[in-house]
Order: sequence, then structure tokens, then C-alpha cells
Amino acid sequence: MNPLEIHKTNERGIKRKFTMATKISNGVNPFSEKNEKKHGTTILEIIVYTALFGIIAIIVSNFLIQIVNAYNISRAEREVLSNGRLLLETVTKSLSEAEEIYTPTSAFNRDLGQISLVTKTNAQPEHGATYIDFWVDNGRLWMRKEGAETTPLSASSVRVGRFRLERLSQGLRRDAVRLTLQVNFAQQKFSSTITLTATTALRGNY
Amino acid sequence: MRNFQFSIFNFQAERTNGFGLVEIVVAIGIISVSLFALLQTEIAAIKLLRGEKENLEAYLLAEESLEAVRSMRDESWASNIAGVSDNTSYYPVVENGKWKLSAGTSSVINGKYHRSVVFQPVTRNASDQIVAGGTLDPDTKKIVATVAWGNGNTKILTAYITNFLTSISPATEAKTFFFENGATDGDLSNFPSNNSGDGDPTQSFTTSTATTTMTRADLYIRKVGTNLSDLYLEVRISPTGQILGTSTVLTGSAISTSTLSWVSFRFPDFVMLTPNASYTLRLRSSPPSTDAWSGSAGPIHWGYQQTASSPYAGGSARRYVGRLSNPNDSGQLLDQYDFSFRIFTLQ
Repeated sequence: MNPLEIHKTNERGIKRKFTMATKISNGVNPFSEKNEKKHGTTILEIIVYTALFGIIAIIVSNFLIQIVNAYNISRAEREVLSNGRLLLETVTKSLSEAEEIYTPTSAFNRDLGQISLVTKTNAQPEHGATYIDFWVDNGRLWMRKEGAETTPLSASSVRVGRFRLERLSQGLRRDAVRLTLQVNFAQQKFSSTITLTATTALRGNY
Repeated sequence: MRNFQFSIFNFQAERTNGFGLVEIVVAIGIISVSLFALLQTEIAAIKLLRGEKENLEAYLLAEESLEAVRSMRDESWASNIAGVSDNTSYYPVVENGKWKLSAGTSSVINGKYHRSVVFQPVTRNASDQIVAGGTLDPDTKKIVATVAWGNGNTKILTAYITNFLTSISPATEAKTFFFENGATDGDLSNFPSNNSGDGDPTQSFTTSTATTTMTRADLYIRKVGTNLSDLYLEVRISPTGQILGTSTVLTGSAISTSTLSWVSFRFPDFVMLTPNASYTLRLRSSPPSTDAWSGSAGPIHWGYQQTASSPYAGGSARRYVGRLSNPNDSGQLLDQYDFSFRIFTLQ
């Protein structure tokens, strides 16, 4: 008989073979079957264990903090990029479709300017032309189409730092607007900024 | 059932403490690796987003170059496009309120970008298609706008422009009222010396016997300081009277410095002028300047002429108009002086 095999009978009388492998898989030291002197946790073990645990905890929590930070930075970049692109595209599209600039309610050469456009796009047939206004108030870019509600174009997570319009007159009937748009992320801690410049000539719809 | 107890202390009690630690180390290892991967993903995302941001800024600058060239084409093919050298770098710059081309590559824009435009000749085949090695088409140009930044990053946009506007006869304007003799700039001795204080310079003019529509006014000016307020021009019935028209605002920093030159102030909303009437051109600043801008002193020099009898019979020059302390101040009349101006009207 294999000396490592021990035969036991369970309560139903079925003989089961216990091997060393079985014991190990059950978490039992095969060599400490009986009267092995058990000792408790030593202070050294606790210290080593705590130190190890502490180091690991620091590493893991550091990782977590970095991930959260990185997530916030990437969110800032993403918000700034998508807002900047949307604002610029909306304004330049409206500008290029516009027939003319309505001067009395436009403010040029100011960091937070405003512009009113006369456009044929989406105009009521009986009027032939309609107005669109863009302006910055309280860090957000707003748009108002004639007869419609005032709508914010930029998200509340970003602030429009510059909305500077410069009017360029290349010829008798060639009006153009140079727009400098700066969008900043609203939270100071994760700062991100984008500065976009575009010149758009007012070409009506040609 | 101690067989299924996994407590670390329990294992220690069973003298299997090494086993528990290995388990924890493996678990921590897996967590760390996955967290590290997550972190790297985020860092890669940030890099991509920043790259995309630069890309967008560069793309818009290149697009603006093309738009600037198109604007210059719209103004005049003959004077703006026909004269440029092919395969030579230029860059667009706003000067005196409109686009113009300068030779070379631009200085740094927006902290990191350089841009340039190159014109290339276009040749066409017998069926008018653009091909290499055909017949030269002088009325078409290929424009290549390049924006370069960082370590060899470039954004290149290409477009074709044609001289199609010659086939349309657009509305024209012509110089109608003018005084062009005031070419003096360095002649400090002739200008009244007490040139301090604030307020605007003005020049009045008289219309002819016909009703005219004013589209633009050119002033013969130059910038002296570097930090200049933005400029605009008003047409008034008198120096402090009713405003009939306001020009577009010219960015002060974009005014030419070297010599006196004709700077155009456009009136997008045209000004109707009645016959045989006197009007005043008032050069204003935004924000209001604390210096008097006139003659040979102040941040703006406006070319003038001095004769004992006023050189321009149709009007007169003034300065210190509308001082900051008194907006209704009609200023000091300079009866021996006249500033140079040109008034353009619709034909």
C-alpha cells in the first residue's frame, strides 16, 4: 500500500482514498496531520504584512487618482474641442450664407463682440429675409433667430473667452468677417483652451 | 469545514501563510495591470485630442489663407493676383482693414503656427481640362496654403481660383471729392506746436451739384506708436453734429507704419450726400484715445498741407474735437491747414 494513501470510512461506510494531493487542494498541510505545534501571527509578520498592504494600497490608489485626473483632462480637451468646432462652424456657416451685416446691433473689434446678420436662409416667404444674432453673455455664446427663442450654443461646461469680430472690406461689395474664437474649460483645475480663427466672406448663397 | 476557509490568518495558523500572500500579489498585479492599461488609454486619448485640436487650428488657418486669396481675387485680379510670382512663398496679412500678401512665411501665429501661400501656374489641354504640360491659362491659378507647426507637422490645402469676375460688371465707385496735396509728414515745424490733449481730428468737405452716394473715404495716414486704439471714421453734418454714417472699424495694430498711405474706411451702409452741402469727416478711436491724433504729432499722423490761405477751399481742418472732458467741444479750427482725404461715390 502506498504510504501516502490513507483510507477513511465516512458515515455511510464508503471507503474514500485520501491522497496528499487531495489534502493540499483542501488547504491542509499533509505533513501536519497531528500534534504539529501551531504558532500565532508574529508581530514581524503583521508589520511586514501591513507595510506590504500599505505600499500596494498607495500604488493602487495613486493609479486610481491618476485615472480620474486623466479622465477629467481628456474630458476638458474633448469639451473644448467639440464646443469650439461647433461654435465656429455655426457662426461661419451663418456668416457665409448671410446677405449683409446689420450694423446697428453688431459690435466689432471687441473681445466679447456681437453680430447681427440679415439672411435669406429659413426666411418667411412674405418677408424675404430674416435676422440672426450671435452674442456672448456670461461666458456662453447665444444665438437668436428672428421670432425664435434665444438658444445657448455653447455648453455650460465651457466658457467663451473671446468672440472677437473684425470686419474686413475687401472691395465695394465684398464684406468679410474675421472671427477669433477662444473657448476655455470652465473648471480652473483642468484648464484647456482652444483658439480658432476664421475669415468668412458674406457671399449670400452663391 | 475548514477546507474552504480562505482567511489569510487561518492559513498562517496552518503554516500556509506564503500561499495567501501569493494570491494577494497576483490579484494586485492583475488590478495594477488593468488600471495601468486604463491610464494609458486615457493618456492616449488626451494626446489624440490635443493633436486634433492643433489639427483643427492649423486647418482653419490654412482655410483662412485660401479665403484671403479669394477675397483679394474678388477685389481685383489684375492688381492682386496677376502680379504675384509663381512658386514663391507669400503669406496673407490684414493691413489697413483688408487682406494683402507679404513675401515669405508668416511669423508665429497663435503661439506655434507658421503659414504661407504659394501660387502655381495652371495649364489646360484642348478640352479645357486642367492637366500638367498643357497650354498656360493666365486666368487660373492653383493656390497651395501651408500651415506648419511643431516638429514638422504640416497642413496643406489646395484650391484653384479663376478670374471669373471680369465677365460680370459689378457696381463701381469713383473718387469724387478729394484733397490730395497734404503730403507732409516730417514737416513738424509747420504744424501748430501746442499739440497735446485729446479729441479727434476732423476735415470738412463740400459736395458738388449732384446727389451722391458715398461708399468709402480714404485718409492719408500712418501709425507712429505701436499700441494704437482701433480707428473708425464718421461722416457728420458738423464736427459735433448728427452722425450720418459710420465706417467699419480698422484694427489699430494693422495700420501701416512706414510711410503715409491711403487707408480706406468703408461705409457698408452707404451715406447719402445732398448737393452743395458741407460734411465733416471725423476720425475716431475705440477706445477713445487720450492723445490728439492729427498732423505730425500723436499716434496717428494725418498728412496735411499748410498755406496762408486755406489750401482746400471746400472745407477746413480741426483738432481736439469732442474732448474726453467735453464731448460737445467743437475743437480748435486750423484755418491754414487741410488734411488729405478722398471721398468715393457710387457710379
